[in-house]
Amino acid sequence: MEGQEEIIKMRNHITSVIEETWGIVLVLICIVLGNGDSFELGLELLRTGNIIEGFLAVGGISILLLIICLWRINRWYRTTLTLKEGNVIYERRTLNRYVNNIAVANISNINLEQNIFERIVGTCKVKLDTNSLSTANQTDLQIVLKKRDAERVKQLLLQMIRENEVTEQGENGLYETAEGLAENQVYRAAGGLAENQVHGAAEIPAEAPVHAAAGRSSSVGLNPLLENHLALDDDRVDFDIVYSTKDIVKNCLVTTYISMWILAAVVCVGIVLMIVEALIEEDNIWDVIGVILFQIMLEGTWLTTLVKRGLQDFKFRARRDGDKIYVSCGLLKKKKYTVPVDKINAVTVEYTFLGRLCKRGYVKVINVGGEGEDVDGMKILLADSYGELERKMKVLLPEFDLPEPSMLKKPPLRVLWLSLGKLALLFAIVIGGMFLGISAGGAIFDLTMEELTDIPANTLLYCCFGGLVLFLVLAGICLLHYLSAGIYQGDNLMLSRGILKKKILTINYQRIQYIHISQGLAERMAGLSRGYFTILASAMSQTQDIGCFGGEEFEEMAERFRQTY
Amino acid sequence: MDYQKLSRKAIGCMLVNEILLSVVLTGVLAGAVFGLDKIEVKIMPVIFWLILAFVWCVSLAAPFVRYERYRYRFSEEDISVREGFLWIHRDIVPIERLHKVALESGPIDRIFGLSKVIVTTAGGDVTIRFIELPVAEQIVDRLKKRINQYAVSKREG
Repeated sequence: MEGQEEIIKMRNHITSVIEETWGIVLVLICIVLGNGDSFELGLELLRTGNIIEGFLAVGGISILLLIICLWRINRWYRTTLTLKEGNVIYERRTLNRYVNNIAVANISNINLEQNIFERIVGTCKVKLDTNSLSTANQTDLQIVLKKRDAERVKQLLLQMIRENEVTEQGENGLYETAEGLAENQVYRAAGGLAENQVHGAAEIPAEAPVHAAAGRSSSVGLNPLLENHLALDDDRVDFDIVYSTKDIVKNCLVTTYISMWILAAVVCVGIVLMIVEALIEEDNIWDVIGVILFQIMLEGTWLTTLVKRGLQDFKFRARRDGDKIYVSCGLLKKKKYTVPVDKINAVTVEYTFLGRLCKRGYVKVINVGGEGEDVDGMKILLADSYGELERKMKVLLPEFDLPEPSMLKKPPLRVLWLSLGKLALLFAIVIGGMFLGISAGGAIFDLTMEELTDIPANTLLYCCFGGLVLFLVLAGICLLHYLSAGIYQGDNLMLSRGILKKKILTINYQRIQYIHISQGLAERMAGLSRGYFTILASAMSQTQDIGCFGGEEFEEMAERFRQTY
Repeated sequence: MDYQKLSRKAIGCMLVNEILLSVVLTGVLAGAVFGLDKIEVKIMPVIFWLILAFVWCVSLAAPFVRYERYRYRFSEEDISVREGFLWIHRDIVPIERLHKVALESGPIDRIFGLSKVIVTTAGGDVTIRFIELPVAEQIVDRLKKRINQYAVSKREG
């Protein structure tokens, strides 16, 4: 076994070609069906001997279809994913050759996803994310495999990550830290991928071959805990955190933005009014039905979003095993993701406006990678009361303590006065600018000031009232911003911010890349500072605003930051 | 390690940058006024001169204030920069977080024998400007050695 290397090679499942091309094919078929005349013309041309024109008229679209399908199949055939020597190698050998080498140690997330099509055909997408900042907003690698193989590849990668971590502890660590394992114990590849297996449509044998990882002597057996995780079905695995349907419905309602609820209320009222009007005015019953259906479609958009949100958290479960968190959720689009705890850069507790009223927040972790709704963090706990979140965090992620709300220190009151003062100054500049603009307009159109300002008193009143309302709304926003702000500096840095929504961020100082502090003229006079810090995360989460606090808070932050290096 | 001040050449470099910017701004403003003058707008020249005066006053004053305020420090552990005119900015970057160190000189920097050191972390870049070229090269060498030391000590665990 000494020095033996195992190369595991895979391709996307063939059904991924259908998944990628069905949209284009459907469009082209629709074009063909909608242009029956051109077919007749083409046939006529062929009959009269114009071969090329006839063939193009009849077969142009078909040829295009064929080219697209062949091109996709060629791309499928020449795209491979290889696990070799502790690296994941993604290779595409088409016209533009593309090779991406990723060391297993740099993998930050391993996710499994299944959309409806994949569930029908029995395949699953394996998505890998790394610590790379250049690909922070996208998935680094993904491959579509049969569900069983996807689970096995995931477990194999986790095992490789674990081995890599054990190796970094030193040669002896390889033998000592693996639980209860004897030397020379044969290591079995998680899930039966045969040597040099190139996976196309063929089934992968169930028997696990002997495998020596990365050229070392075979010495690491399977962690008994990991054995459980080879279970292919979530129902065979015990999760630490399981939510009932009632919890999921509550989560869905509470995490829907207030704007959506307002929109829904407005649309509902609109629907009722339109229907009443149609019933009164329209003679034809079909016109009335048409109005009703149209209105339902408008409302349906909101309802679809609500249902989609509920379904994406359907059967949400999470567990902690060693240094990884496993999450499984989703109905139409099943997602399973694995987050190594050491790659978590920060934890956020988020409250929507409704959540703040109901005192229910949900927890997300920030690490590098993820796309779509995961780009600003991955959810690990659904909306729940604070006490419950604390209890669940102790189980799932004890490394990050959730702050007691009372621990967070509010910014000094002069922060609020400063923001209101800036707002007043802005309004003064705008009104002054409007005045200058009116003067300029008078000069352009050769009108005197009296003629220009000969505006009806009512109009002037409405404008002033509108301006006042706008000022009060913006002042309200400043107040809400001030009330949501908070800071706590202990072993971890905790920051609270928001306006209607609220977010409490917890981060260890070691995860901060650098700190930027700034002071404008007004801040200097008031003894305040504002700033931000950056972390290793996607573009949306990379820069974290600290907010405006007293200068002494920033000095303490800088000092605590310095102690980490 | 104490904070360092910039070389006096930095004032010249900043001044040239500000003057160039002001010339461009003057051109844009003059173009706007010329266009409006065609439709006999009488009030605009007053505003034009006021804005122009403000821009040039700020441009001529800013380099001196910025020079007096600009401080940087490259210690064994971190890089700290403090600079600004109306807004004062401060950056603190630990050396162990650095991924890349670069040295850049624009055309105006080269005239004055200055350059900028750009350090890159996983969270973004921080630029330290207006440093004399020999000093900047020494800083970059020291940073590279320090980064390598960190990498080796991390590997040795």
